[in-house]
Formats: sequence, structure tokens, C-alpha cells
Amino acid sequence: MDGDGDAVSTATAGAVARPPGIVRDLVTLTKPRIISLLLVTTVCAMFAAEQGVPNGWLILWTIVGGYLSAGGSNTINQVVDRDIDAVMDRTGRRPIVAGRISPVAALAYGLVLVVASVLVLGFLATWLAAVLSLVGVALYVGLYTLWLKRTTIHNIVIGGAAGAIPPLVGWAAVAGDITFGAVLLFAIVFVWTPPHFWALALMLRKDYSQAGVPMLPVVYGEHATRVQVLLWTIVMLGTTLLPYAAGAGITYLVGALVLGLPFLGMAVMLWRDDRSRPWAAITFHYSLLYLALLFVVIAVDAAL
Amino acid sequence: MRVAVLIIAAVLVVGAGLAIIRTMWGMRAPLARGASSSTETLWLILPLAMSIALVAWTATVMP
Repeated sequence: MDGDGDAVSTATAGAVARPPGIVRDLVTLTKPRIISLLLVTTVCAMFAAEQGVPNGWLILWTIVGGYLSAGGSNTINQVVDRDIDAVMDRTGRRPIVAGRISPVAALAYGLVLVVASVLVLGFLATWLAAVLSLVGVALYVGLYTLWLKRTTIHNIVIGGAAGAIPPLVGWAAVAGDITFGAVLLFAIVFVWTPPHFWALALMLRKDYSQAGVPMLPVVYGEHATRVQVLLWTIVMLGTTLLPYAAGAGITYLVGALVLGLPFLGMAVMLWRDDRSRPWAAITFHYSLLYLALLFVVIAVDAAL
Repeated sequence: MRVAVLIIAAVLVVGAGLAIIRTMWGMRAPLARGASSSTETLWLILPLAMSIALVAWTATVMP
């Protein structure tokens, strides 16, 4: 009897600690970890647009709308890419591939999230922010997933425009327009994407090769990719200096250099080292931290 | 100070941008249906042209 009781309490505790499978799968489909970085760029862009601390409710609704928009995009992306996901080790257990959610149900869910994001951003932020989020969905699903990902080595360069939309959404939510400062933030995320993603592609080259995705290291090899990571890191470093030239404070300049120079150092090590895997992993993980911290510096500099 | 930073930024963006075009120029062969060497050339040049244009735009809005 005690044994049964223990079993029941253990099962109950397990049920409380972990959400039911369907809920977990619906959350997984949105790729919450990726969205968290996008939302950092969104919120920090709001501080830059306000040149101070924006309204708390506006921040909240923009985060909600931004999550719904990116979550919808990510869900639709997994519907389209389920054939690729099925043959890659990293993605082989995703809910659609594993058969726990049907592609039709996932597509409907993704579309509902996108519609909800437009309504939340439109009614509770600004309609420009809503339209821009929709442009982001179109770029990610239409331009990147459906067209470029399977056809060109420049897929993640041009497709990077989709990931650079969140700062525009944040800026538009506060300012109601898009000015030079917003374009700079877009450009920083855009030129950050190639070194970030190609470092990841170096780590996952076999997976991409198996799936037939023409990532740069698959088509032209690791050396060519390491060269491009270094060159794009230099473009990125130069681009991150532009906000200071355009009027940002010395806090921003110091922050951009303190964060950017180690990134450049890692790209140089990756370029020089034939055993590129360890430096690819280091560069990739640092790139995530780099973008988040750089945008925090942008926000702090604007609020000072 | 801001002018010096702009010049450094311009050297980095334009220099590395031209190096990217030079090193990837031979990689413009179409890989799949829906691709052509002209679209590959566009994808190569467009982002770098935009980066260089942004440097020029920055010069016009400097305080």
C-alpha cells in the first residue's frame, strides 16, 4: 500500500513538475531559446528609440507580440523543413518529425500565432510594428525557408534579414516610425548573422550534408567557410562602430570594442586552426552572448 | 574623434567587403533549381553594397 502511495505521489509530482506533453510540444515548436535572443534585441531597441526607459506596458505587449510572431514563424518553418529535420541528428526529435503533432495542425497553430501577433502589436503597440513583424514572418518563411535555404550558399546571409527585423519592431513600437538609428540596429544584426551561423554550420557540417542543405562548409569546405567567418566578423566590427560615429555615447563605443575585439580574436583563431571544431564552437557560443550584451550596451548608452 | 571612428569603420567595412566579393566570386555557380549565377551574384553583392551605403549614410548624419 505504501508502495502504491509512493508511486502515486511520484507520478503526481512528476505531472506537476513537467507540463503535459502537448503543451511542452507546442512550446517547443516556437523555439523559445532562439526567441529569447530576438526579444533582447527588440527590447533594447525600444530603449534606443525612446532614448530612455519606455513605458512598461508597451515593453510587455511588444514582448508578447514579438514572441507570438517569432514563434509562429518557427512553427511554420518546422512544417516546411520536416523532411530536413528528419535526417539531422540535432532536429530528429522535434514534435512534427516524431509524429506527435501533425503538419496540418502545426501549420494551423503557426498561422494562429502569427495572426495573434499582428493583433497584439497592432492594437497594443503600433501598426507599423505589426506590419514589420509580418514582414519578418514573410522573410523567414518565404525568402529563407522556402527559397534560399535549399538553393544557395548565401541562404543565411540574405535570410539574416529576417532575424534583423525584431529591433525594427521594437523601435517602431516606441517611435511609430523607422529612422536612421533603427536601420543601424537592423544592420548590426544582419552582419552578425554570417559569422554566427557559419560557425554553427562548421559544427554541424555532416548534418547539413546528410540533409542536402547547401550550407557554405558543405559546398565549398571548411577552409572557405573559416575565411568568410573572419571577413564577415571584420565587416560586423566596422558596422558596430557606426552608431558612435552617428552620435552614440562613449559608453557605447567602449562596449562595442570590448565585446567586438574578442569576437575578432576568436574568428582569427578559427581561421588559423585547421582543427576548426573547437574554435567554431567557441565562436558560435560567444556570438550569442556578444549580440545580447551589445544590445544591452546600446540600451544602457541610450538611457544614460 | 567621431570622424576618426567613421574612417576606421569605413576601412573595415569596405576592405573586408571587397575581400568577401573577391574570395567568393568563384563560388557563384547555381546549385539548385531556382538559382542562377546572376542571382548568386546579386546575393553576393547586395548585402555588401548595403553595408557600404550605410557607411556613407552615417557620414551624412554625423553630429
